[in-house]
Amino acid sequence: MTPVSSTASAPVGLASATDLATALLPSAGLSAAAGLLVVGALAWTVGPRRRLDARLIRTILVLLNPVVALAALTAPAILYLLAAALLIFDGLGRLRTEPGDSATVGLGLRIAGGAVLSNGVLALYPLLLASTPALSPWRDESRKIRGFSLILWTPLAMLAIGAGYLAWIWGWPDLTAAPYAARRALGGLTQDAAGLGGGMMALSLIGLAAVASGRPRRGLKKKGNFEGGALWVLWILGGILAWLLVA
Amino acid sequence: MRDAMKRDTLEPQLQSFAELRHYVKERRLPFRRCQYGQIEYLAGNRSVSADQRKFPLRPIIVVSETEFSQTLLRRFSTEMTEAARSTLRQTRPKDSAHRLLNASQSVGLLLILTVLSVAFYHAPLMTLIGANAVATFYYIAIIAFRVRLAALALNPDATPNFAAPALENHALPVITVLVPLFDEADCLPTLALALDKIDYPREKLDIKLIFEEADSRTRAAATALNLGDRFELIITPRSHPQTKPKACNFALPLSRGSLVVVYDAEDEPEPDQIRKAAAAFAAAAADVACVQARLNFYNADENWLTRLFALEYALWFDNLLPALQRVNAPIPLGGTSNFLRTQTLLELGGWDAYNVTEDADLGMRLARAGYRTELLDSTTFEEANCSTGNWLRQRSRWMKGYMQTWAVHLRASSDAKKQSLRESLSAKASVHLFLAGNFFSALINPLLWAIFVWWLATGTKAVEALFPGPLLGLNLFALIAGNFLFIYLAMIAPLKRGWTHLAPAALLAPAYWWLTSMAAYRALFQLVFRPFFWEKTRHGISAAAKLKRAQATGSQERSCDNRGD
Repeated sequence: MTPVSSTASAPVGLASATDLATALLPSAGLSAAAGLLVVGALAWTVGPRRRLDARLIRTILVLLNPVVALAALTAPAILYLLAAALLIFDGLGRLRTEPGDSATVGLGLRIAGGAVLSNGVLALYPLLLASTPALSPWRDESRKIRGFSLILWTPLAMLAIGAGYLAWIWGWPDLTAAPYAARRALGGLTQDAAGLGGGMMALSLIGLAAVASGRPRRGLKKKGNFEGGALWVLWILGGILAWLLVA
Repeated sequence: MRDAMKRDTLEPQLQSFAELRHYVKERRLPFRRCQYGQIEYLAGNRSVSADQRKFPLRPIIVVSETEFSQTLLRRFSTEMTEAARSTLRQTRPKDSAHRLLNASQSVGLLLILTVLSVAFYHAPLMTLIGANAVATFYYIAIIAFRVRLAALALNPDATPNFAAPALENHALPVITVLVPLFDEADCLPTLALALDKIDYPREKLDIKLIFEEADSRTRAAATALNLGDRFELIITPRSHPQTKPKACNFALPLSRGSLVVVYDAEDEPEPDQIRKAAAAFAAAAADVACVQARLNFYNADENWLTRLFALEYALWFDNLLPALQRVNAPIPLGGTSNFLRTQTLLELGGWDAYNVTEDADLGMRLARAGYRTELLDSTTFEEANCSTGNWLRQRSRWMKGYMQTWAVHLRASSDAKKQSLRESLSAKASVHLFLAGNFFSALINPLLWAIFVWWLATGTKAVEALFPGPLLGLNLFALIAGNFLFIYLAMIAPLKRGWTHLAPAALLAPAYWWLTSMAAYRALFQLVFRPFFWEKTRHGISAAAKLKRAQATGSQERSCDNRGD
């Protein structure tokens, strides 16, 4: 079979994410630490149990938006990292507030999705892996904890195996070939259309994460849904405005 | 009085089989003519008040309820046997698996085979590519439907766990419990104990143990345990086919209950299950004709096979069936613990005596007739098959039954009210992807895996020719995403019960699928050569079942001793 780059037709944002993650690998630890600070501050409100909490988290996200947008101009990879970390922390919050099948599977999928969204988030995984037994809502016997851990980490393992298999068939993507080389030459990815695409993609992902983490839980009903949607639009618009002002 | 009845023979010309349900409901049967032409009635003792006994308006012979039922049985045995075999076949021939393919289906199948043969002769590669494409798209459709169902199952808002308010004793309906038994002597002590544990007023429980005439061992065991004192024993005369649905059909007209439930010999329903079912029916809309309890196993952790079986049941009953209910799709019922409105069941012609998964078929027929099935938040625990041979026999029967059911519902049209496009699509997906997907995927899997392994081993170009262009991508998606997804679904299935200790067994699912494929091919063979053969599953063979039997036997003996004291 002819080896082809599996990312040849990948969306701009994802391609640039991989590129940036590769370029920023040396500072991945630093990014992870920075991401942890911001996300950690948000994490305690994730998984709102009351209407007030949901509003609070949304307000914080809206207020933070220009800050995050500015961060996108200097180090876009941080956005992906933040998005990925937010997703995972949201999953953790749900598991804390609504322990059960849905939250467990949700967290498992977020762990896998987080790695796709930002390779940088992998830096958080050893800690997460080590703390998995403590996360289990079923702690009455070690076999149950092992089963829970397996459920949590299997999506990531399957993703890795699937990707490995495809890479084995089609070959690993050549990072020196276009479009990666071209992207790397763009530097900060902020002054051209590709940068705008990448930045907006990141903003959208963060927005989605924000909606996910601040979305109405059971009991908040339709009004909460409306608020969430409206705030998301505001959030994205704020990001675009901030980007335009600075750029 | 009883002696008098025995002396005098019943006059057959006074009774009519068409009136059987009336006799059963009223618990009265025209028995004989008296000296002055007046008809003397036979009555079950529960239907006659003390005043009526003292001052009868007409002559009656009061007998025990058991004796009343036995009289009905003796009188109508021949008609009941025939009705059990052929009511559905005669009244709704399209709905019966007695004839697997009707004329148009046979012509259609022949046409497809001819076209495929001709195409293969002239363009073998293109034909194989076409077949591959069809199989791939079918797989992807199955994957997509299961993902949708799983997502619904994981969404607590989408599948609410509705608990109907409990009913007071006086408001509870009479419920008939049918327990068909064949070669189940070993299970009787545990069965009796499980039935005794049911929390429901005794006078409102109509428990019927149904035996086959040929099965003297189980009947002898029932006699030894004095089960006739507590439950009604019904013996089904020999007739073809010898199936569980035929046995249930035989007993159905004798049901006193407005609701009827079927339990298997090894079943252990949660004690409050019947109360919950009664409450669910009381709270349900009139179009709810069936309430299905969840099934799982008491010996889930016995070996790798039981663990995988338990994961499969957890996925089926705890996740996928509630999701099917959510999208208003037909629900293939489980073989036991399904509560039905007796009258609706009779109107539909009962179970299909020729279908070896009469339960799944009935679920489909109920939906087609415009009725709904709801899932009950109560579990019946069964014995999981712990031996491979026994499992294969059971699974091949299920596969054969799914094939029969699919063939029947492929030709049958809907009697239900007009459905929305969404409901119609869900119904079709339930039949063609959910039900048929079980056996189609099991039949196709070995072929695809064989091709895959061959290609891995040899890297032959011959295989690559079968996967041109985007078909390769779709196949890879089906291979990777499909297999991983189904493993993961099995892994997360026990979460609702908190049985996460079973999750690691899901990694062995591919081995389980191989067994399923073997069962599917065996089923296909039997479908052609022995379509109505009921492949018997042996019960009471697991360590857990043996332990339970020992405990139940001890309990029975103590109970007998106490009665003796």
